Amino acid sequence: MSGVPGVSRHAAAPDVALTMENVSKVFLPKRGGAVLAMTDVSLTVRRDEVLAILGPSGCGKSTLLRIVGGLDNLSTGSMRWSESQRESGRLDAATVFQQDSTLPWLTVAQNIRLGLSGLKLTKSERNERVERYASLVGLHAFLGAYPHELSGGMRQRVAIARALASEPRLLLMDEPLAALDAQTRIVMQSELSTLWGRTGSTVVYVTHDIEEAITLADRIVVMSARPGRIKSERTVDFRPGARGEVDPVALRAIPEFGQLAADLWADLAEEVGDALSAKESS
Amino acid sequence: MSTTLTPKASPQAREAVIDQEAIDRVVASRRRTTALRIVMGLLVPILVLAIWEALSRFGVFQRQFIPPPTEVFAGMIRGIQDGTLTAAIAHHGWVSLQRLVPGFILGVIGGLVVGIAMGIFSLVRYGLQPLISATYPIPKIAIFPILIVIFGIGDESKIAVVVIAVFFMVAINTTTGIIYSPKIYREVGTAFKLPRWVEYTKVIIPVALPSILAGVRLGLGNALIVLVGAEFVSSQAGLGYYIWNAWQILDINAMFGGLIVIALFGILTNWGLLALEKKLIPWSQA
Repeated sequence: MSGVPGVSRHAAAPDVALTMENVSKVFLPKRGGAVLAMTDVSLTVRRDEVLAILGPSGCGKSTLLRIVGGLDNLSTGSMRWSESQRESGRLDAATVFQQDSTLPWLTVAQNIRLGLSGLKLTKSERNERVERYASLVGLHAFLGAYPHELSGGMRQRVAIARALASEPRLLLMDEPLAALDAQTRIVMQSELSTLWGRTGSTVVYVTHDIEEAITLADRIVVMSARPGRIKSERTVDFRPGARGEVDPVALRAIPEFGQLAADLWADLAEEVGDALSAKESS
Repeated sequence: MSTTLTPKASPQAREAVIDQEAIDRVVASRRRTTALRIVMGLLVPILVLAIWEALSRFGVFQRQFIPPPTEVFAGMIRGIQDGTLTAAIAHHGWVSLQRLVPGFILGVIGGLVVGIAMGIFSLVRYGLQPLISATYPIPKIAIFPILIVIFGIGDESKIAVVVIAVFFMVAINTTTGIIYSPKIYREVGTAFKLPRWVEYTKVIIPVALPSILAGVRLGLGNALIVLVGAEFVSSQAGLGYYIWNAWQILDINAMFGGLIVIALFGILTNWGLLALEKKLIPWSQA
C-alpha cells in the first residue's frame, strides 16, 4: 500500500515523515460491544506532500488523524516518526480541528502564542512567529481581538495560524473547512494552498469533500466504510503551476479534474452505500 | 492567483440607506420591552405589599406582630430620624461583616483549591467526591453546635460555619465546571503538548470560570443564611441577633429594618459579583 505508483510532484526526494503499519483502533463504548473503528491501516506520509484522506462519515478517518496527533492511542500496529528532521522549536504534529477551537478568553495573539508554549523558544522568537503567522493568514490587524469579535472563517484562520506557528513536521487538518459556508470555503481553499506553498508544510488533510481533496492534495487516499481500511490511492498530477498557485475555480474546469472526481466518487459510492445499508441493518 | 484574504466588503458595497420608519419601529419595540420589564418588576412587589397591608388591616394577620407595611415604614423613618435605628444597624451590621468577610474569603479560597484539585486530578476526585457528596446535604447550621465545641462561642465558630457554607458551593461548582467543560479546549492542550502549568492556567481554569463565579455567588447567599442563623442562636451582637432580639421585645420596626438591610446587602453584593463576572468573562455575553 505504501510507496506505490506515481511519486507526487513535491516528494522529489522520497523522504518519509511518518510510517504507520497495520494500525487498528478499537473503541469500547459504555453500552454495547466493542467497535472496530479501523483496521489494518498502513500508510506512509512523505515529507513535503499534501496527503488527503477521503472517506464516508464514520469511516475512522478522523480517528486516524487523532492517533497521529496524539489525541488517541492506537490499539494494535505501529507508528514511526522519521528521526531525520526532529528539530527543536517544532512540534511533531499540530492539529486544526473541524469545530471552532480558538480559546475565547485569549486574544488572537495569545491563541497563537499558546501553541508555542511547549517549545523551547526565546521570547523574541515567539513574538516573531506570532506576528509572522498572523500576517500570513491575514489577521495581523486583529492580533488584539478576541475570537467572539471575529467571524467563523477568521476564527478558523486563527486556529490555522496557531498550528502553522508551531512549525509542525506534520500539519494535521480534520475537515477544517467543513463548518464554513460554501463561498468562504472556496476562498479558504485557495488561501490554504497559498500558505502551504509559502511554508512548505507536510500536511495530512481529512475531508469528505472530493473536490476539496483534489484541489488541495498531491495524493489522495480513500478509506472504506467502518471498519476503516485503505481502499485506494490516487495521485493528483495535472495541477498546473507551482504549489501555492492554485485557483480552485479554474482547476475545476480542467478535464482531468472531472475524471479524477468521477473515479474517486466511484471508489466512495460503494462505501457510502455500504455505510447506509450497515446503518439500516443495525 | 492572488487571494483576497478578507472577502468581507464586496466592491459594490455601498452605503445602503435604511428607512427611518423601519429604525423607529425597531426602537419602539425595544422600548416597549424595557418599559414592560420595569413596570412588571415594580408592579408585582407593590401588589404583594398591598395584599400585606390589606391582610393586617382586616385582621387576618395579628396586627401587633405583623403591622401593615405603611406602619412599618413610618416606624422605620422615625427610627432613622432620631438616629436610633441607624446607629443600631450600623453597630450590628459591622459586627456581622467582620464575621462574613473573613469566612467568605477563606471559604472561596478553600473551595477553589479543593475544587480545582478535584477537577484536574482524578485521584483527588475519587478520594474526595464520596465524602463531599455525603456531607454536602447536611444543613450547615445543624453542625453549628459541633463548631461551637471546637471553636468556642466567640466569632471563630460563626466564621467557621460561613467558611463551610461557602466552601461547598465553590468547590462543587468549580469541579463541575472543569469536568463538564467542552472537550475541544482540553484537546487543544493535548494536541499542542502544552506544559502542565500552562494547560491549567490558560485552558482548564478559564474554561471553568463561569461556573466558578456562579458558585461564588451562590456561596455568598448561603453565607448570609447561615450567619444570620448562627447569630440567632449564639450571639450578643450582629444582624441575626438584632433581628431575633427585636422580635423577642416586639420591636417590629427594628426587626424589619434588619431584614431590609440584609436584603439590600444581598442585592448589592449580587450585582457587584455579576459586574465582576461580566468583566472577567466577556466572551460568555457574546
